[in-house]
Amino acid sequence: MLRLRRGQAEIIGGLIVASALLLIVIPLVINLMTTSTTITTKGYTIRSQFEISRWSEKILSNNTHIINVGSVDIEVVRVWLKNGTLVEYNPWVRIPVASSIPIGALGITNTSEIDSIVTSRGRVFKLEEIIPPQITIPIQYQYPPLGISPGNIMAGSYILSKNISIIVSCQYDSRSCLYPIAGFYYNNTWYINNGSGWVLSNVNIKSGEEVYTNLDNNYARELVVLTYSSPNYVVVNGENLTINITFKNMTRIDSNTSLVVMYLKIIIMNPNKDSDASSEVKVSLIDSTNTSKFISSYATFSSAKVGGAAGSKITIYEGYVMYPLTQFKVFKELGLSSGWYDINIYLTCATTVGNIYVSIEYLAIVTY
Amino acid sequence: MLRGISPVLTTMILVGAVLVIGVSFMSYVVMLSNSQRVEAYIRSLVADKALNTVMYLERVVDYGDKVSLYVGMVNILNESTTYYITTFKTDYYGLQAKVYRSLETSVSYFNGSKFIGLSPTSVDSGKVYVVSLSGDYVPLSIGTVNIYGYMYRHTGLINITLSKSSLGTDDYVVIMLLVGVGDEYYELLQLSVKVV
Repeated sequence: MLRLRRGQAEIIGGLIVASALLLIVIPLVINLMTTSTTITTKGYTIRSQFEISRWSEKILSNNTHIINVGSVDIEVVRVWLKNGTLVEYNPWVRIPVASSIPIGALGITNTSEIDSIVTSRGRVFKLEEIIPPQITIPIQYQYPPLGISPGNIMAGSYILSKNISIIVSCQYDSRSCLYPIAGFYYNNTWYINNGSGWVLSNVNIKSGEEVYTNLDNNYARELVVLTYSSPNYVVVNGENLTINITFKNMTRIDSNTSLVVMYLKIIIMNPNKDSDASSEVKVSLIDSTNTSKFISSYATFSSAKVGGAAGSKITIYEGYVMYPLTQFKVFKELGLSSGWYDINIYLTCATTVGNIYVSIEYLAIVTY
Repeated sequence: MLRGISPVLTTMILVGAVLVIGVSFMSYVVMLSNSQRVEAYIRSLVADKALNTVMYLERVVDYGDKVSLYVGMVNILNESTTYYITTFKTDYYGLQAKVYRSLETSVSYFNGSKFIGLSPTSVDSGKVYVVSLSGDYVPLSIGTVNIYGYMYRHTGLINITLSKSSLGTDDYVVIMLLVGVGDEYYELLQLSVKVV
């Protein structure tokens, strides 16, 4: 009987302990199972796909278009401009794969205005990243002289085919020109450029003025500056003449550019053959977005004084101006930075008798 | 008679004691697991939202004595979401940070045409939890901080402007996105920027 009681006690004790353990462990396990949550694989998959799409975005730009060269469609959400302005688009501007959009679709006239482009996937493309690098070809493999290729020369009909903006100002005989514009006479038609590209002339230009677009009489028409002289426009002229003409965004300089060379032919004509004209030409490279940064040269060209048509006297400035950027970069005051640059021609002439006329027959700019 | 009664009584007392201890212990364990559940819920919520949110530095503008940081955000599910933003400074980048210090900034958001200031809410930083190097949430503990609520759909842009004189040469500016849980805020994403 004593053995039976001992056995009973042990069983009861074991049952109690087991019950206590179950009372604690089972609820704990159940509780832990219900609290362990897992992030669904769907969330990871969506994020992974998004990141793949995001880093597949790639765009390039030439002067006029933004090109999608990536493998996914891109939506441009906003654009930061170099002047600090932020432009946001609603709806977003879509660029499908292997397509491009003109810069105008972003409400921008020139890629040089852009600082960065922001897409809907959160990519930020700086302008320097989307402009293809300029490849410098060694001089010996380029066209002579000094590497000008025919397409680089802005002359004749090429003046009109280049979609450039030209801004002019002038003074004649101490008077400022009224509404000055650049003019070019081609195929018996006047074209004008008042800073927004070439258009058919919509102003009255005095009949016969086209004779001043061929000052050296070589049948190659030249670019001139027109001013308003009531009741119509004429080619600016005077005893004392100052012309300031800027060709916008003519060339792009980047960190690899070591030398810029400009070739010009400027013609100065005085109908009065008996008087001389003194003249001075300054050519400058100006940062398109910050005109306080510029580099100038008063370098003289080879010049010739020749007799022109009807006894007139003409002076021809023809030659080149070099800007050795590699050497000039040490002068931090110049502050030359990567970007688009304008060409500015500043010309002053004076004579004692007669009226001076000025024209530009060609202009070329080459970078090395 | 006495011998027959005492084993039963002893047993009953023992069973009663075990039950009381067991139930007490179980209650304690359930309480612990509940707090685990809350933390697990928060981690799950944060992980879900973090997976669906992209945060990046879009632009930095130096004004000499001030600097503006433009921070872009993308909700990849194209949902309208309210995020909370706060800023502070640290001694090291990202999770390596050991020291957190308060930083005065002004925060505004872009509404499509201009930047509009966000109104801050002053919060005890003990209720703002950031992720430590060990992966645990730790309170920020830098006094009171300003929390800005910002709602956007799909993409957003905020501007954080601060005075450069408030930064030391080795300081990192942290812009932190938070998610609100009750009256507490938990780190979602952060951007750590060194302003030169």
